[in-house]
Amino acid sequence: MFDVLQNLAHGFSVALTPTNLMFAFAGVMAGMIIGALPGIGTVVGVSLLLPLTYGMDPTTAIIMLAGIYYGAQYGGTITSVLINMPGESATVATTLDGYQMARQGRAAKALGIATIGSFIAGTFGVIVVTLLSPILANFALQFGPPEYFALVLLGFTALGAVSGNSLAKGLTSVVLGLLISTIGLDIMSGRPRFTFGYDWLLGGFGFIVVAIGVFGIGEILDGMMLPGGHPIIKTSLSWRNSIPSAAEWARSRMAIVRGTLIGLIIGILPGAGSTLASFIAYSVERNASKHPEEFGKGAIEGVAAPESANNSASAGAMIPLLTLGVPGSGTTAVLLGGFLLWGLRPGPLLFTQNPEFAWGLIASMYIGNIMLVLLNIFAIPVFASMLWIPYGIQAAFVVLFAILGAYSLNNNPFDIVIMVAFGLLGFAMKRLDYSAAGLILGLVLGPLAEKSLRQSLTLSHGDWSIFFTRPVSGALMVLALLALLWPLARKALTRTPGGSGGLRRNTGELQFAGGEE
Amino acid sequence: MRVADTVAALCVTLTGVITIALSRQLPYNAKFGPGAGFLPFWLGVTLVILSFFLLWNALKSARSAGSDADQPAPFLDFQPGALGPWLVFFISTVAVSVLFDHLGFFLSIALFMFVTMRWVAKQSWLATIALTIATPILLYIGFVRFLMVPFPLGPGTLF
Repeated sequence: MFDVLQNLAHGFSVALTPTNLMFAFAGVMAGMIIGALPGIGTVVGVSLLLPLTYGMDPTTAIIMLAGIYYGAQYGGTITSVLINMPGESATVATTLDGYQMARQGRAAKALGIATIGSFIAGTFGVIVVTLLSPILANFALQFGPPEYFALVLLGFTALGAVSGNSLAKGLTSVVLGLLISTIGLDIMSGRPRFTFGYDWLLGGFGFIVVAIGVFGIGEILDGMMLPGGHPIIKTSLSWRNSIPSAAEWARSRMAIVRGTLIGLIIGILPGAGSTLASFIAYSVERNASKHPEEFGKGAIEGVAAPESANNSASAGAMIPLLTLGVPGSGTTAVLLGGFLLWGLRPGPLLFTQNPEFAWGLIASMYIGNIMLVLLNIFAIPVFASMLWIPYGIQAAFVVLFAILGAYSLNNNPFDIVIMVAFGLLGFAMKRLDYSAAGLILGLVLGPLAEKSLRQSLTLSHGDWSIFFTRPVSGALMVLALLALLWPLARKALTRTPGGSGGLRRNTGELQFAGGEE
Repeated sequence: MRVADTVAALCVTLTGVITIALSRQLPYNAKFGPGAGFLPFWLGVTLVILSFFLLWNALKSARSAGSDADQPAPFLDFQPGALGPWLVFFISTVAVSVLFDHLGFFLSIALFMFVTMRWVAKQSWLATIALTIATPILLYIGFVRFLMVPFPLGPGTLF
């Protein structure tokens, strides 16, 4: 325990340097803006801004990117409440009651309770990250190749199972990502694979180039199909109106606690992300409430629960990312890609080999949450004004950032063409409900999956039972197979009524379209 | 959507078959364990198996065409009037990605902004021209001056 405090203090000394503080602020600001722009989700924002961090110190860069990640969870609420269109998928559940509250003139109240819930959940989430990460990292030190393979497989099946509406489509996306990761030199034998004699394919497809294309361009081409105006509810957003009354606080208190816990547990699980967490928190809250009939009509708990859940989930998702190097969602997969780009391998050794990085990041999350509360209390009207930017202008800037980002990776103009080609693939996948996050996860984890698979089978002389006879990998393999049964459980859950008809259309296939955040 | 789903499933089958064929040319076994062709081969097999499920789902949903609400949106359903701007936007995106290296930073960004602001975002001439001029300059300051990315600046290099 004392160790943890000492490390955390060291982390704060890193996070509180003027540069890091400034970039943490830049990150949460950018996150708020990205969240507040309808149609540009967290994962799009993080992939587009990742190339900007090439020249930075890795710790500073990841502090900024993480700021974008959790900042967007706050920002996404604004669009959900004011125009009934989630700024990103984790705030879909918020539209159900948030928009109704806005129609009753209680928009400021909805944003206020969301901020309070987000802060409590986010901070609690970071405390758990602080306490749990070193323990898990220590445990993971004993992991050998079979455990890593089983863990990665669990990530794949879990993401495949929760993303979109079809298990087969989710898994196909992951396998396609894995397949793309095999292009280029084989990591173990050095033999070129699927390069068709082209030298430029030897290095494989750059992960960032693919991510920017699939998420950025794909998302925008899809969004441009219905760029239509969304009526913005005009209301006073002064901070004085945003403070909940005693009665409202009494109703929301337990919703925040439940949402926080649900979000945290789901966030830590591989594959499941803050979108899923917010939906489950919403349905749990409706079942637990004394006024279930008010849900969907502007119940304040209906905003408090999912908003708390998505923030604690995004904090919780940092745990497997940092300690095991296995991300559970599209955004954390992009963050992992960033880590690798800077030559940092997240995993149990990160905490011993790069303590200033790991602890600096964790400390910055405490600071970021405080910054976000202040921004949300005093600057909401500024962010709400983002809603007035026409979609066509947003889309044009996304394309420009995508092009500049893809180019700056290797200063290679050909990367831009590849990026746009993957954008077309991303667009088709989005229209057909295939999971773009699955593709990226497969691509990022492909090398680890292949290496651990081949090492395991080398260890066991080709005997597959090695994955089941070792206790930890055996348990993970069973979980990975169980995850495939999740779609059946989901059917039972989604039977609870899910909001207005127009909502589903506006946000794509949002019903439990998890994993993208 | 069901036609698109079927076509997509067949593309997955094809990808799987091609992967299997290509991976057969790589060594399946190395000296002490699986070789370079091991994972690709099994990925190909998995894709073929998954594509049967995809195909089955696509055909099943075609047969049980129930109420409209249950049906997924068609592959291409544009909001009324959105098709034109979408095509302009799409062509501009492809064009700027191909021309970036030839026209350079300023000219390609300015052209892209001019076309998309006027005919996609439907801005006034004044706003279009202002954004066309301001965007490349601001991006230049951000990316080239601040982040020092060596973009091909091309004609129009004024700095």
